[in-house]
Amino acid sequence: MTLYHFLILSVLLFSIGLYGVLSRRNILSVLMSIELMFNAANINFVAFNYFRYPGQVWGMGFAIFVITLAAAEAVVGLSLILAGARHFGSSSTRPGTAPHD
Amino acid sequence: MIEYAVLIALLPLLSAILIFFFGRWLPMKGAWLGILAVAASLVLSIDLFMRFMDGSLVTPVWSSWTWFTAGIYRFEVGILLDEASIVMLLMVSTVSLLVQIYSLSYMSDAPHFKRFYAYLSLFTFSMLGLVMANNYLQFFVGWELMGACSYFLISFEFEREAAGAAGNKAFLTTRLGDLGFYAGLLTIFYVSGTFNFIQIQEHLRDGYISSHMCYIIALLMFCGSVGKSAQFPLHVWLPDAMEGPTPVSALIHAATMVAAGVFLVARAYGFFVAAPDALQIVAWVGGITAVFAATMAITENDIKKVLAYSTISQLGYMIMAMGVLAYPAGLFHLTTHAAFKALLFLAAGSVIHAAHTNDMTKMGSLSKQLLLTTITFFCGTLSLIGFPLTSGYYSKEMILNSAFTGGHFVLFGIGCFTAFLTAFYMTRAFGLTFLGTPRERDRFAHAHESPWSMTLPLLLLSIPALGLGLVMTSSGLVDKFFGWPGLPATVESHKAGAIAVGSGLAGIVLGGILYPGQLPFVGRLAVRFSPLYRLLQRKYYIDELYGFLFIRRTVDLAHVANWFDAYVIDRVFVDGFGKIVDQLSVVKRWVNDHVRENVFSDALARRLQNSLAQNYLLVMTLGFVMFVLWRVF
Repeated sequence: MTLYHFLILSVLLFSIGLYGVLSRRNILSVLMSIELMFNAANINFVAFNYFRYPGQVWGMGFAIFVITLAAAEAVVGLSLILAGARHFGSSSTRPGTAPHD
Repeated sequence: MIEYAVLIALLPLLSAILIFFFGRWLPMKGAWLGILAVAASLVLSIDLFMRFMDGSLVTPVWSSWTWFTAGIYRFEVGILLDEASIVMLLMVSTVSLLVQIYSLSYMSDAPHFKRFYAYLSLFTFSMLGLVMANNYLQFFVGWELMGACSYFLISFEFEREAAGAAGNKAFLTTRLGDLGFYAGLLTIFYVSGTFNFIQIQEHLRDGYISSHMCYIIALLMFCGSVGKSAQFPLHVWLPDAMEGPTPVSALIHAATMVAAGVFLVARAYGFFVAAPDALQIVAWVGGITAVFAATMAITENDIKKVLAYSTISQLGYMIMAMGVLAYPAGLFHLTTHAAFKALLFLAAGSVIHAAHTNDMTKMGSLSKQLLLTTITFFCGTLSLIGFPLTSGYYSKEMILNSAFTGGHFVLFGIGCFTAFLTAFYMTRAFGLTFLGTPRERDRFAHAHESPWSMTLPLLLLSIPALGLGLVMTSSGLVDKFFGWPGLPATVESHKAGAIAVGSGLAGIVLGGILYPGQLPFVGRLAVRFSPLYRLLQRKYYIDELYGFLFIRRTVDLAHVANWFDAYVIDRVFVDGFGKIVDQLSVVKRWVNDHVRENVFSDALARRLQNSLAQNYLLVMTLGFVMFVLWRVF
């Protein structure tokens, strides 16, 4: 297990997340994909911390911050989705479901 | 070689995972898997217990694995087996096994049967993991997992609004206490640099932690206990938690999880002993809760809620015992209470199963139809009242005795009065439910005894409810298991014992006279003293008070936030930007007229500007990738 294994995992995770964000039409899936990208970043933080700066904790600490942030983001995101779904009757990102002026 | 003990906790976790993911395809939705796993845990716990008894296991033993390291700090998961945790393991796995067997019939018609067993297994894992924990961090993880399982199971029938609301209330109220617990954890780590129970105990013994710090830590930890064990003023969630299925009430909200608050005080007892002022607070909170909850039980008509109030009250006893330095008595009462209160709840479940209602005023005379349930409920009632020679008698006597000989006469008085009230409301509940004449004929005629998988756990639980106290006291197991070095030895006081037993008996006599024979007279009494009656029935208006103080204020805050959103954010920012864009559209129109018509074809522009945000994001991403490529190569 070297740093590169973790980086490759992180790249894969990030790419999957990015693909999801770009291609999914359900906004819930988009939110989930964003979480994947967050976690890819977290893996990088922790992996660099572990392999490059053993004995320090800042990478891990930063990962914790990201997790907290992601949780807050999920709360806001989900309530927006909920409000949107109630208002528009759908949770799709497709144009036409949102009202146009 | 103690590592195998970790299986006690891990087997229920495994079954929870299997049931959750594969239960759909398993016979009986995987319920047998949960029962099998917890049965295996029970066997292992008994094995530990036996090895402890014959001396081949010398406690305390511990073993730990590194969870993670952060800098110089090592965080661990591990097991610590000492006298208290061995008894708790035995107790938790026994009750959990019986409740799971009981639920086979009780929950058989429930939708989400699979989910129920998955949660029960997960809960069992959390509680066992907490009991075995060798450090506060793992303890906290188990603690919060239990809180989550409790939430899931209270609002198990989430289709009913009351169940969902009760789950939220329980979760939020206990979370308030957990905040204190969490702050306490951080303080502990700050002063000692470790979460390990044994290391912290050594620090305390060597006097590395000042008594001032101990005071702060003890009070913060106690906040957690107040939340989890439903002590005043955070007791409001437990009666509402009765919205959950009855087996859940028996397992989580009577025998195990709510007792974890007392167990936390026991685990952190070093801090409390070092801070006598904190102990005073603990004792008084416990005493006040005990009598406070008991008074509310008197006017309650819901059979489960009567038991819920009595649980709060008995937990108050335990907390009070901890506060008056009666550590052994507190844990002893915890153990006996688990037996008889689980029994009472399961028996009440059997009654509800037969009568299809929780309301005792609609029952009556059920002993004619439900013989086994009546007998077992009676055993539980005797034990809870503290009738001489039953389990509850020994443990309650021990607490009151310690309060008396320790010089806490007011608390002793409160305890005796609570014993009187307990005897009264339990006699009332028993009389209303099982004796007298049936108040609803149809209901009575259709009531029938529950199947064996429900009555068998009742019979099995009756044994410890009646005999555990006698066995443990006469063989000296109480002192062997629940000892804390340096505490004053218990002195027997016959005067205290006589007063306590006398108040209990007085309660039985008064309850027996009034219920069920004198119901009209009781009705007149309720009218005569209607302000008092209403006060008790409305639970001292505490829900209303909290509603006014906290919930309404939160709603007010939400209104302010809503106003801010509507007028500041929407009007100033959103509409403002809209106006800016509006102005810019002049530019856009010019571009449209002069540039686009001449330069771009319509089709391309329309494909790029299709108002699908993800397309814009894609363009951004591609642009960024190109930028990176350009910088790198």
